[in-house]
Amino acid sequence: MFGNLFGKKDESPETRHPGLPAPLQLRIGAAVRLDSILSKVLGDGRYVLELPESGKFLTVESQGEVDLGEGVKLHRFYLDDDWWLQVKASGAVLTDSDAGIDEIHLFGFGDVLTPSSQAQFEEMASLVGRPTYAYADKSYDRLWGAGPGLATTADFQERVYPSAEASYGVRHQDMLHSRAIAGSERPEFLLVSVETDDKGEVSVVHSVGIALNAADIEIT
Amino acid sequence: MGILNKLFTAVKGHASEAGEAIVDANALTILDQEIRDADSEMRKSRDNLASVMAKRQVTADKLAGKKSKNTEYAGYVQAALAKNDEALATEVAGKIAELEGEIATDEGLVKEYDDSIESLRKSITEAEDRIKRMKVKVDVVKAREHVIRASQAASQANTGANSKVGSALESLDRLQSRQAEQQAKINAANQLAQEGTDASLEEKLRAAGLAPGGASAQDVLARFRKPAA
Repeated sequence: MFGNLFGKKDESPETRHPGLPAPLQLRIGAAVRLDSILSKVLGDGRYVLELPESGKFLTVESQGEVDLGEGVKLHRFYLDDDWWLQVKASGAVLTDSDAGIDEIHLFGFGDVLTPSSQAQFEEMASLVGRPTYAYADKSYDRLWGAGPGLATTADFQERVYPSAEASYGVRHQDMLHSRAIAGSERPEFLLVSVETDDKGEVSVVHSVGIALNAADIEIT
Repeated sequence: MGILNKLFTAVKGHASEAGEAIVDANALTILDQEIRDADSEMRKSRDNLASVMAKRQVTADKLAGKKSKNTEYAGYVQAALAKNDEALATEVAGKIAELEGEIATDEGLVKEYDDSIESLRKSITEAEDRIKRMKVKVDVVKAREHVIRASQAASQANTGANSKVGSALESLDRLQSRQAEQQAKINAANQLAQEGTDASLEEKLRAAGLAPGGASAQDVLARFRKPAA
């Protein structure tokens, strides 16, 4: 008390995460349902992505945040059954507004490869950044970087919050790819991410997904 | 009007002038504060306008998303019908009907936002113009006040200088007339002094050679040459 009176800094521990952003009302514990038509129309085997069963509610289990700089952030919401939503936003994200939301993607986790040796890791990493990437017997075109050579991955740090009181860091070296789907306006994306966790463990994570617009999802 | 009444009117007039002077002296300070307040209110209005515009943009973006979804779903209906999947075509058509309703609502909202933005923008522009005009007037009044003060100071100095020169000239005149008077007095006194002695008569006799004393050698010789009478 007297410390405060004399201008001494309050050294009591501050709340670690006073409030995580909740774009589109997405937050830990929120229930998310995809437009049932999408599952029916797009879930006919043309996509590698398996869409959630029509009408199924998915729960947000954890939340991740990536600061891409210049006010641009990626907000990731990890749902049950290995789906996750990514919301790219520029500027301040307000809970009661959709302002500043640039893109929404739904991804499903695919193969996660954990190299058992440095040589194996180097072999896996050497595939990331090539003009095309083969996955699930499909060929995806690289979206980031130009030219026929190897493109540099997008490197960023993600902070993942399994709850509002705890967090851990993941380093990403990502490359985004896409392929056109016959008879559909929505291409399929493949995100290949070389992830390094806080303990230094490395894995190559594949996620396939589609772009959504805000009217495609119902959030409760 | 009686004398007392006039006196009271005069007193009231002075009181009113004094009151007005106090108000006028503070008028510029009050006006400055009012302009600052108005500016601050304008900033708030602009923030509100920006917020309305942001909300309008969000609704417009949602509307665009729904329209593109509508087009996409129209394609799905056609594809389902082509595959004779009547059930799916009906379900998607139902979704389109729902979307069309939402689109109509959103279009109405966007229109309302646009009207509101237009009206807010107009009133802000008008208010800003009024503030600008007020600022110009206050600046002119301030400048005029400075000119008046400077003129008053110059005028006072001028009057002061004139009166000082005037009094100096009067002093000089007075001094000169006093000196002339004194000279005249001295001359008169000398004359009187001269006339008050026999000096003038003696002078005359001496000129006629009759005055005693002061005889020349020729006078003495002439007396000796004359035969004694």
